Amino acid sequence: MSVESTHDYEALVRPEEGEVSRRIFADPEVHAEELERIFARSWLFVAHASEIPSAGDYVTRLSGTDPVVVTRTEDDQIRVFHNSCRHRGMQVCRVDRGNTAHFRCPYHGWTYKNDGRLIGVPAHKYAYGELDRSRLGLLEPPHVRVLHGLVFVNWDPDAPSLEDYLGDMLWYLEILFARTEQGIEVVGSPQRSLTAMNWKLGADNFSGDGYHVAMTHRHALELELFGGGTMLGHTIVCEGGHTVRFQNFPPQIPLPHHLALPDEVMESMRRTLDPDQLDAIDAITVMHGNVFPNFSFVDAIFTTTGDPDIPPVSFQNIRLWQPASADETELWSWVTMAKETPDWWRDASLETFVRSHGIAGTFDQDDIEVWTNITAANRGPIARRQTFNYEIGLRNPRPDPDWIGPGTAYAADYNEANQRAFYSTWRGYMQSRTGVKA
Amino acid sequence: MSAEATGQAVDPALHLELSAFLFREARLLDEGRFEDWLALLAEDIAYEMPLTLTRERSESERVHDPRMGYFSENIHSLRTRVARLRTDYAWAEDPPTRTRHLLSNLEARELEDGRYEVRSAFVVYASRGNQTGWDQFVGGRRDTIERVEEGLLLTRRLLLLDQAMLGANSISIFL
Ligand code: FES
Ligand SMILES: [Fe+2]
Repeated sequence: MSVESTHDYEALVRPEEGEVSRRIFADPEVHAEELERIFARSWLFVAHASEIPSAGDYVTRLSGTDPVVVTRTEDDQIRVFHNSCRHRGMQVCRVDRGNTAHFRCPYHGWTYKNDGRLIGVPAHKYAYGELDRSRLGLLEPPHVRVLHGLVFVNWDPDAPSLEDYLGDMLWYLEILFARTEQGIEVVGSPQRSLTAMNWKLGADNFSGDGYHVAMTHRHALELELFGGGTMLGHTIVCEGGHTVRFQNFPPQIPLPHHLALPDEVMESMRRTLDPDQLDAIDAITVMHGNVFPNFSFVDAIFTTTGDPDIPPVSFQNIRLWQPASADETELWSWVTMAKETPDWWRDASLETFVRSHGIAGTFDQDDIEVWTNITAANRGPIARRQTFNYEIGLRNPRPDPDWIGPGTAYAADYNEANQRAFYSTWRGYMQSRTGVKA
Repeated sequence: MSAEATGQAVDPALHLELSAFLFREARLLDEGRFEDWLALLAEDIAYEMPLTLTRERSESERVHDPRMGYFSENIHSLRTRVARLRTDYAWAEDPPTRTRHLLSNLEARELEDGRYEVRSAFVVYASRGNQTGWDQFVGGRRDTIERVEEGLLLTRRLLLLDQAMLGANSISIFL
């Protein structure tokens, strides 16, 4: 199937000049094309394996706007299916999570095993005489891949492998998700809210916006929850529009090293990561980034939350910016931690997340206030003719050829190279006329 | 979390005293008197709101996530939240949300340790900016209240929200 575009994305999106049209954050047609051209062709995160630890476990998720169910079968395979009956489309699973060997459709009763096979059709002989059930199993994406527990799907039969798609970004994802021998696990269920914002504003911010911290989150500076802007950092662009930002503390500031991770995690981490990966997070306050298009992560240390009961800890948070409509995003937000993490540290890390970066957290409230206000201001015809400015680092890029990791690195805490890479990748997908083959 | 509280239903005078305490507490929040509100909380308060999940009826005992929540607060983090509101940089709450905490269906019991448990239903209307619609937070509440020399103090608040997918952009108010 190919979708003719009414938009000239070459003119609308010019990150090379530091300009991106506000129209792409507001126009319902652009949003519809994003679903076809980006979300139906990219590798999308849907779940972590630890969310469905036992045979029969399942969670329901979204891929773009399409509902999917992620299951673990009796033979311990993780499978992903379109959550929609092959007869007339009823959702076969209508809850967030559970455990079952099969899904029975409430409409006419077609029944599917949790490996997707159609195993029951009421009045089969009378109604159909012959029916080839083997071609009517739940629809499955052509590509499902579990990497370090992260479950990704891709609906494009011609998609590159996940490893090729991630490329240099893999090195950074290992730091987060393969840092210990036992790997990481999700704690509880994801927080969710339907926010009145375009999904790209979240991805844009997480891709590398160090510039907003000192103003959007200034309350934390005022309350001395963390120090002033250190102006030390790196932004890293990986091919494919995946980006990372590290913020460092200067050597004279005695903050805990390696994100204050507990000994049990550190010991395993030293045996697991390579020395450069360990170095990359030795003296950081935060590491965050975005896997194109909408999978973001943040690992941040809090020396204090103002709570004397909590020692300095960090938390690891992964998110999806689900593109509900041009001006609505379902925010899904999980906490993950190494399985080796001792209980006292788990509790402290979880509380630090909930209080700061949860949906009721003191940081997220203000981020979301900004993103929803931008979205409201984008509605008018005047706004849509304007552009956002992405010029930071355009004329003073500060490349760092000595950076220890892969990708193109810049030694700058404030830089919009990451956002420019995100929009340049976005434009590439949107200009390509080939959608998912029908 | 669904176990019935043991203990006696309180007498009408005590019921009135407990409801007056909770209504005043709600009014202090609606009036933005957060420091006065903090003074009604015990030093060891646990203020929690677990996630709500959509689950099958047979799993209805497990609708609330035992580990992940929107609030997991103690007195220190609540004080930090209030101190934040007093900076000039609490953007989500400046201009402030206009809230109306409605509390109903109160059932009060005396617990074995002499404290009181009040179960109730809450509806919080939150009006933001010039929006004509409200953010609405609706659910059940379990409060534990203790008597000290100076009067009553809230020692535990458990908020069980009815919504699984939050309809509000975020939660920037106290419930
Ligand atoms: S729609 Fe599922 S059986 Fe008819
Ligand atoms: Fe932020």
